[in-house]
Amino acid sequence: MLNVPNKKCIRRLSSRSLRAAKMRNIIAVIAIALTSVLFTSLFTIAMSINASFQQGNFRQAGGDMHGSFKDLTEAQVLELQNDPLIEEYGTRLLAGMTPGDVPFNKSHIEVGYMDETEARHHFIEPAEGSLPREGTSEAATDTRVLSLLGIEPKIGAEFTIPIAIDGNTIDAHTVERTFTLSGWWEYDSGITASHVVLPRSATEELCALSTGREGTLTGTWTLDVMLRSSLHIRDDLTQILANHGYQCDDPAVDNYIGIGVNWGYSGAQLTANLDLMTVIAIAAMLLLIIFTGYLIIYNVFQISVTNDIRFYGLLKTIGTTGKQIGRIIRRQAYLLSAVGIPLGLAGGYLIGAQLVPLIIAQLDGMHETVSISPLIFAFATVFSLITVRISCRKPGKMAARVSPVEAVRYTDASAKQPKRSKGRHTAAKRASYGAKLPRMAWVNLGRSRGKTVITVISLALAVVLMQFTYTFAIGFDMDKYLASKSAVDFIVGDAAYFQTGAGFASTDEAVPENVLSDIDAAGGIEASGRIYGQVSSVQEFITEDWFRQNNGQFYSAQSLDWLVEHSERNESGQLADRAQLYGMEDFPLSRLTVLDGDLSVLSNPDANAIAAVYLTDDYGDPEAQSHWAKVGDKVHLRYVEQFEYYYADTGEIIPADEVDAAYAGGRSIGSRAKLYRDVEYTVAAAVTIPGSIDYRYYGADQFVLGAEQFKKDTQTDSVMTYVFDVEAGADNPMEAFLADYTENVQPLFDYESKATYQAEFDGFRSMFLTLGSTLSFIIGLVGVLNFLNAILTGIITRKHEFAVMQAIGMTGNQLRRMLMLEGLYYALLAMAVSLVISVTLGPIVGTGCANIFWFFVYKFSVLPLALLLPVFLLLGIAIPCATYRGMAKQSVVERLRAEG
Amino acid sequence: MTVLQTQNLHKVYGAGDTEVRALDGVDLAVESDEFVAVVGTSGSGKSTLLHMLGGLDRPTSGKVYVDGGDIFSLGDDALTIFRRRRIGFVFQAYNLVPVLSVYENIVLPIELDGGSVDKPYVSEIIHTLGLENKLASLPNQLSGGQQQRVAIARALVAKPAIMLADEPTGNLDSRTSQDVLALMKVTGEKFGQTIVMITHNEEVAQLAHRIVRIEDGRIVHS
Amino acid sequence: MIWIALIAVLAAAGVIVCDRLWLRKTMNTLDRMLDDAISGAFTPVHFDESRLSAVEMKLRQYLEASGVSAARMAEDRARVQGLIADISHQTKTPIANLLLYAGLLADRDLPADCRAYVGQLTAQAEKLRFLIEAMVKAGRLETGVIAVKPRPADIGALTKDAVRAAQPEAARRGVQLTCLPAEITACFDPKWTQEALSNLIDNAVKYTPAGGSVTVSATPYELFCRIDVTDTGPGIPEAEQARIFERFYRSPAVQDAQGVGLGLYLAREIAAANGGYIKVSARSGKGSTFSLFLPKTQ
Repeated sequence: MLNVPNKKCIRRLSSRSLRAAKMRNIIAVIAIALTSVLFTSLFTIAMSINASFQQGNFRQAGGDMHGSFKDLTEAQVLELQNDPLIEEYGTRLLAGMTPGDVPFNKSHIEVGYMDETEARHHFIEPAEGSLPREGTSEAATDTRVLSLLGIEPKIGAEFTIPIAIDGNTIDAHTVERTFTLSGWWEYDSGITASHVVLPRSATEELCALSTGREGTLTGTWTLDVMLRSSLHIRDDLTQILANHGYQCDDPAVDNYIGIGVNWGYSGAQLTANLDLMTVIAIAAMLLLIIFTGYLIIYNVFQISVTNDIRFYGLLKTIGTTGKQIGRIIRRQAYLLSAVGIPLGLAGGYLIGAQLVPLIIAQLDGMHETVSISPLIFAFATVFSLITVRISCRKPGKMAARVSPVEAVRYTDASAKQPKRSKGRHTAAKRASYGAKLPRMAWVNLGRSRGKTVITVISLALAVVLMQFTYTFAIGFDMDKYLASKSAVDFIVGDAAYFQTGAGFASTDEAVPENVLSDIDAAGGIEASGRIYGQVSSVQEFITEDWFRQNNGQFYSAQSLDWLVEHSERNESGQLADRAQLYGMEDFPLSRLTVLDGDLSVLSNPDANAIAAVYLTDDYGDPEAQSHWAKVGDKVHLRYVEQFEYYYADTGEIIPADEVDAAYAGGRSIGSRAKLYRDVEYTVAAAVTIPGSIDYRYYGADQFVLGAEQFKKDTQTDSVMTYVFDVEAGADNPMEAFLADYTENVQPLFDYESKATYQAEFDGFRSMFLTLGSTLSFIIGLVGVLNFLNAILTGIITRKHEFAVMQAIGMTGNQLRRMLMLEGLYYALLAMAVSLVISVTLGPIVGTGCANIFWFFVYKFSVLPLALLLPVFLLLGIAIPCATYRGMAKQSVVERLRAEG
Repeated sequence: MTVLQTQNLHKVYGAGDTEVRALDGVDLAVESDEFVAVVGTSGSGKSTLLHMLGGLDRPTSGKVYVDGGDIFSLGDDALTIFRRRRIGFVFQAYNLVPVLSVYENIVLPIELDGGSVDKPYVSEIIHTLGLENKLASLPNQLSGGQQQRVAIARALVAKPAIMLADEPTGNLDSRTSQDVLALMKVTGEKFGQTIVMITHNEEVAQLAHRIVRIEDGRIVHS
Repeated sequence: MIWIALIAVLAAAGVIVCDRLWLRKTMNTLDRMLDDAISGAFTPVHFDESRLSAVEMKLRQYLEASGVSAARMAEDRARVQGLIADISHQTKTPIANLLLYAGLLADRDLPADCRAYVGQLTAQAEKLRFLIEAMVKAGRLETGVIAVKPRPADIGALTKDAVRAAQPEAARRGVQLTCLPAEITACFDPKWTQEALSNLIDNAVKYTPAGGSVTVSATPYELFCRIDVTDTGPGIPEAEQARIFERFYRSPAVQDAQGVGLGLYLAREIAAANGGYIKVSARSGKGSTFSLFLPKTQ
């Protein structure tokens, strides 16, 4: 149905009455702005973490293109690149990697040509200079490659680099080329591969050296593409191939083209990683913010509607419908939002952007990125509006429901209304109490309970939050943290060892003896020892049950069955499985926690004694089910020197040089030890290893051997870490020495010390402190605003009443004292409520925290309350005082007349 | 023609011991163009009657017909819309919208109804009520008499069937009262308005065509 | 698939929007037509097959029909008016003659009883003449033949003139008639208003017993001027107060006094035509006050 066009009139009424309430507007705008500050910063942080996580993933993946087509010929590149599904593309021609000799043994460096789009999507943006020009002998690369070559990053520098042509085939041969540096960029530790970018002509010249043997990387093109959306990359890539008559399913068929999907997109979405805790945490935060915003916005509107109830009644008498009144109020709220929300968005984004680095520093695998996604603002706006809408719902309903008779009844409101609401305490009677000001103030507080309750709650909420933040911060127990983290003062190892997820795996990561002697030479070492890491293959023999338990988490049930069937068994039917060994000298041995048995026998290289390593949970408690071996058990280890591979179906043995190709062929392949030594040990002890000196990843059952026994049996001596304690007072010099040493002398090595953990701990704590205090500050502000609002409206609405009281003999001073008492009561009530909440909820929250953070110890403290008390008291006195002064400017007669 | 009629109207406030019978079976009929004064002492139920007549409040029992239609068969919003189209109110406390100018106050009922303002008619009302020079003022810049004149203008502007006045001169001094009453009388005649006016002042009631006396919620026939 | 759905949704939305726009246009047209009809300027403008055109025709028929009845009413009124004029004209000479002959008869020597009859005859004839005159005036006022033309004029002069005219009669009846001076300008038609005021004063003088007093005073208000005629007569019972302005109403208490019950009615009509009104406040036995309200501006 068409309605009569009365919107304009409603709009005018709405904006006029809006203009009439300046104080309320200011408070409401601040409240709305604060609400959207909270939302915006929350979304900024969340989106930024997501973006940082994704950026981190892109860097690890090497680029941010959606997907790629691999091993193409140039003709194929030209054919595919213009497919309509492709939004943007970049191409790359690989000449080869650097050979695996020193100094390139630890780096993945690709030499070849890439176009500009490709370079940009691989985060290659020269800090100085540019990509090489075509037809020259220029090249561009990053600082890591340059430092490995020992070249200063300076434009025009000449450098020679070896390139392995056909590197991964038997035709591999290395050529050397000299280039002029045309540009360089900073190496980003998040990026796994470094690039040396050559002009296309130079790359093609190198590619021409290839023998063209099957599987060579030299001379292969890669086409990286951006699609319209990141949602179904694989389908799109397959579709593109199909458009041109290719497929990516069967490598054996001619028209096969391999594809790659950037896992940075598929795996890294926050949504994909959302665990229940994160969802609950974000939802809880949103609810908290909505609630906080609601508390004040609702209060502001409720009070203002109550004050204007006569106005709405009047409108209703004249013929304004309830719906129209609701619209008037909503429109006012939206107009206020139009001012408040943009302010909040700007403020919230600034705050969020400041907090992001703090949080990201505490998280792994991130590349610090402050998101400026429009979604942040869209979400924040929507949620702020929702809050505003919810908040003005009830006041709107109240105004819409007001009986028109109210308006008429209110004609003599000043005489009737107080009588009704105050019962026997009429203005006149109460004025006669005179000396009983505190009592009057208390009665006044009870007059509108709802308002008082909301004000007190919103004040208390801020205090409680502050209290919890503080409890949190003091509850983080550094000793507990350090005790678990650092079993020794210093740990020195290969840089890779300390990188999460990298771990120790090969002789390349061993710490050479010269480094050890350098460190020893620095002096101050009290006790030290080497921990040898395993670089060869070792197998243990275990029961099928244990085998299944160990491998169950890595394999599907089907694969597990296959594995059980195809694994080797010893004469007693036990299955061979990978084992992980430590070789420890006496000092590290002394740092193990012995659960059972005795470690001393391990120092004897001929005792064939071994220790079984049990795992611990976060709190350092050993998990009894984490190892099968008990003290006294026999452990049968097989040191494998050579494996042989065979086709699982036929049993046909694959020659060693064809193994790689056979794996590529896709048939299932089994393996077994061909050359090996078996040794039998007796378990002398069950131990746990402190987290800071273990392998830092979990893969198989772990055992500890004495250093000598280890060297003898494994016939390897790769030092995984060198651990030592220093004499008292020597830790700072040693810290300085190691910092300098690992930075400048031996950059491939790194160290950890108690100071490292301390810094880590401090960073963690300061993040919580910053976040918590920001939050409590904002909520505190909301509380103070509510307080201000309550006091202010309390005074404004009772203006006439006060005038009456003054007229009949209450002095201005008494009045002010009464108002100050009311303010004080608010403050004290809020304090009392927060004390009660803190005392009752504190232990619960504390236990919760202790469950999440193992190094958290709940300690109750009233310090924040004690600190806040004077602030609140001050506010409780100052706000009424200031408001009263504003009111006192009008004479009693003026005020009496204003309402009468 | 009868424009307004009540049928056995009852209104009871409270219950049990505190029960107050504000209206106790009121039957009243008002003819078109009639000027009826309802008189009675304070608490006699005359204001309640007026609220019922204007659909501000619902009766406990009984019916009110305006233009032959039972107004309490309407829902709240419908009743409000009915009110703004068919009833003009003048209150003792003027009850102007403080944030709107005099002109905006006067045309508010029309605009609330989305109608276009009948300019000649409105300016005639404004002229009759002598408000030409005050149109841009806000209500609080006016004297009481002027405010009440604005309220009368507002009540007239939608050409309602009935104008209900509740002690329109209750807040005014006697000189201004004379003016306001004269205006109600004259405009009522000029614009063909049916007027029901509540007053406790017998003298004020003199200018009505008919005086209805109400005592203890009943109409007293004299 | 999704495109089809989208197009369908868009099409539906389009239809709805068009429909609403069309409906709004129609409503606006109807609104305008009714506005025109109210102001009397309605003429059909659409002549086609549309419903709108049909509606216009019907509205026009309705307006014509009500126009016809309005015209018929005007005709009736004119006929009444003519009748009044005829009566007044045709009765003038007979009444004048009646009075003339009654006077001649009275001059003769008549027996005492005959003289009494002649007295009665003269009085009744006088009454008839007064009645006819008043009726003609009222009729002319009512039917708007005589336009009351308010213009700014002096209230003081009005009251003074009216009082002066009534002074002889007052003196004859032994009633003290006073006029309080006033310097007020109001907006009224002096001739007709004096007629009205005179009626009020005549009434007051008539019903005030000898030795009583009648006072005429004027008070200015912001928008109105009030002229009070206060007497010390018997007053008017409350029940009668609303009725005294009715045509031909005469209070049972004053049936003896001369009068036809048209004076107050006429005065009220004149006041209304001036944009004012008359109200009475009186208590039985305590005298009464008739207040004539006249607007100060047009």
